[in-house]
Amino acid sequence: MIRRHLPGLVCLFFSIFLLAQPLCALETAPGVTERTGERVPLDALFTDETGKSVALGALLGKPAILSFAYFSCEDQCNTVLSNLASSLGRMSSAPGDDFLVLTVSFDDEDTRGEAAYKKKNYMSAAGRPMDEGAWKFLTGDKTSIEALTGAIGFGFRKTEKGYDHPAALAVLSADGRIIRYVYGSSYLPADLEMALMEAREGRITASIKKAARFCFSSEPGGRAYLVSVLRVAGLSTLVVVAGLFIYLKGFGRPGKKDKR
Amino acid sequence: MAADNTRGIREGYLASEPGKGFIASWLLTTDHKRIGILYLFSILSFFLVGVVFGLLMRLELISRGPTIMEAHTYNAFFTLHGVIMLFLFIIPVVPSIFGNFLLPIMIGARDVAFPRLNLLSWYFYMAGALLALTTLIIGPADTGWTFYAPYSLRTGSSVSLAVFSVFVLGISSILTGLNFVVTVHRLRAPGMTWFRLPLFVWSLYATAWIQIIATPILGVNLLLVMAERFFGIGVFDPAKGGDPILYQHLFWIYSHPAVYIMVLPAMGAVSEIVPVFARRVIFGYKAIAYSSIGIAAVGSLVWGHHMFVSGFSYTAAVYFSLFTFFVAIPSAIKVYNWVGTLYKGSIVMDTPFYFVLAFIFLFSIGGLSGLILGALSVNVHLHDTYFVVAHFHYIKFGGAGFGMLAALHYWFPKISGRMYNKRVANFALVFLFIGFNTLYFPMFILGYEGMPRRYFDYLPQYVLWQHVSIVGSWILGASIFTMIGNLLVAAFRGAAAPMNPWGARTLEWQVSSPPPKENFETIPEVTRGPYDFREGA
Repeated sequence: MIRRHLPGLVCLFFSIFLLAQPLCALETAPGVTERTGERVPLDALFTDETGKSVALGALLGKPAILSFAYFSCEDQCNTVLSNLASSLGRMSSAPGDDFLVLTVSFDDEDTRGEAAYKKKNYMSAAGRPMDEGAWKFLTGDKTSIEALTGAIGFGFRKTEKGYDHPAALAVLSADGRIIRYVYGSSYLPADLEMALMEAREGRITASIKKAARFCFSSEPGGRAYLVSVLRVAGLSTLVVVAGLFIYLKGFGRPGKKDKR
Repeated sequence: MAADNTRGIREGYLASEPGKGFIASWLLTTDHKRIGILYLFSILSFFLVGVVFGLLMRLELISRGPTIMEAHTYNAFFTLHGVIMLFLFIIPVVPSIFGNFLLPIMIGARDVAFPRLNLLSWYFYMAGALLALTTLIIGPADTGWTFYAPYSLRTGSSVSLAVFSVFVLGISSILTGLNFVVTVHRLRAPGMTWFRLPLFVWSLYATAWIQIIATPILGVNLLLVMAERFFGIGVFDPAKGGDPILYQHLFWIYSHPAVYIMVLPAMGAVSEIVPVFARRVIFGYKAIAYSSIGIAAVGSLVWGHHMFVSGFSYTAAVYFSLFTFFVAIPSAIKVYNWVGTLYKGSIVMDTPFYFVLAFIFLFSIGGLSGLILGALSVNVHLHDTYFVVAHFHYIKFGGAGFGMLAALHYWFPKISGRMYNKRVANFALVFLFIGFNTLYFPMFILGYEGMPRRYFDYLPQYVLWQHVSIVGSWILGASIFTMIGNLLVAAFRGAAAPMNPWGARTLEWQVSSPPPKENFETIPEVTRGPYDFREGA
């Protein structure tokens, strides 16, 4: 009976692997849903660190590196911004002249004062003279933020202590198209140069899918069960392996002459 | 050497079995030697596929911007190149081919402990390999060979199948490891004490333990990825309160020891070849044997050095960095002992020995560049650059790969019963060595200058070294195909090989070439060590 259906069952088993698509393509989940080649909303209004209200389209005009942060963040956002600053300092093309850097807060309660403070810090961290307009720190209302993060595919979620969000940059062309994403929280200068070069040439390319990093505002306690599962699995592996070794060394050893 | 001992070439284990068709006699065999040959052909075929992917990736970089493929295709290519070269080639190559063929003969046994399990692990290997190649047809994965979560959880491409194929390959690896451990413990010939074991057997033994202990962790990890993709249980996906860093830990807990699964058996083969061509007992037998175990043990504690920039604690990073430096000690013990063996030896220059010299040179460069990367402060700058690519190609290809080629040229007369054309082999080796260094050394320079890895395009300032590297890839490709062609011709048309062409003392050279079925007419009584070259010994 089973024998007769075996080929069918095997085919069914493998077809599950072929057809299965991930279940977790939720739009609002923290993570990046790539929208390479699409355009960011050029009419979305943001406030820059001087308090001036500007449309995104009016800011662009050069290729741009776009990063997201929220200014009360105590963790990943600072790492992203300081690593970005250090990479900017080591790049051969000049921020401001060849390209722009935009850091947009996705927390609608952030103020321009905080933006100005961050800007002062990170501009000096870059360690190279930069034009005031080279790196903009923008705040905005909920509508503009959602329009922009939605267009980029940047998913974040408010939690008790702040936000859960991924760490990634998007590189935009001068006319506001998404050229590609740069994942992670540290960036090779050459990687950014290349993305900007593609942005200048208007060439849409694929991003390199390396480990995406995330910012957690809390350490979920409910995950303890998993850790114990791993502990049990690891421990039992070791016990079995040690048992095998002891058995082989100590017990049931055939006589040395007894070799068939 | 005694050519009079040469039997007819198609005798021995290669003789056709009465009552069995040709195909059945291979596909249903439980003879460890035939299974070794099955592995030899399948693994080398996949290796050539991997080489072609590598050559095409290099060719893409011949001019800036898309040349022969788009960025997406390039991503798929480096994923496949990685999966094929690591999981289908370099991890199984030495244990599965040479371990299977030689381990029982070297310890004086008729077969491995579980011959049927041995055949089953070949079927698992083939199933896993074919599943991996299926992903090619239905849309290749683009995550790189590491399948990092959470990207691997969300991408629509055929990650499930690729992950499952690696899982199946893992089963094959565990079964082979288990088989070897039991064989070494239970089937040694009378008088074959632990310290009379050839060092190749020691290295296979250490490797087998890593396979048994570390591979299940990869299996659990990949099962969790699949569970997460199908049922959304949220172990690794931060959107569900999971932890992507956990994935990286579990992945590297296996995958770093896997580097030693790759390189230890190759080192074992080198430890066989060096004393034979130096015609003297190996220097520091016990040191080499224990350093295999040492590498296996310390190597299990260094996985974190792949994660220095993943944002885990600096204290942990410091310890992982420290342990990484420690691994260099047993590795260096081996290198010094090999060189020490050559000192005042009566060196016989022959093809396998040239391969070993190339191995020692390239492996040393790979190991030293590993120390540079192991240093925490430097790693932060070189992470994800070509420097890393150059380093692991020197270790994996220059080390494990050249060790495998040395083993292939050393044991080929025993395995096939025929001798290859040594001049062609030497010639191919010289060009392989030149091609290798022309291909990979510029990557150290490019990486130092900041060229990011895994990218199908580059900035104008990198043109020169990229082009040098591409020319190197052509030399390397041509010499690999020459080398394998030379061996294939020899396998069918070569002159009959004598029983012991290199004058070695280990047991496999005391049986005919090719070895008879069941290896020995009577199980030999071992009375001396494996590297005893004294007259009359």
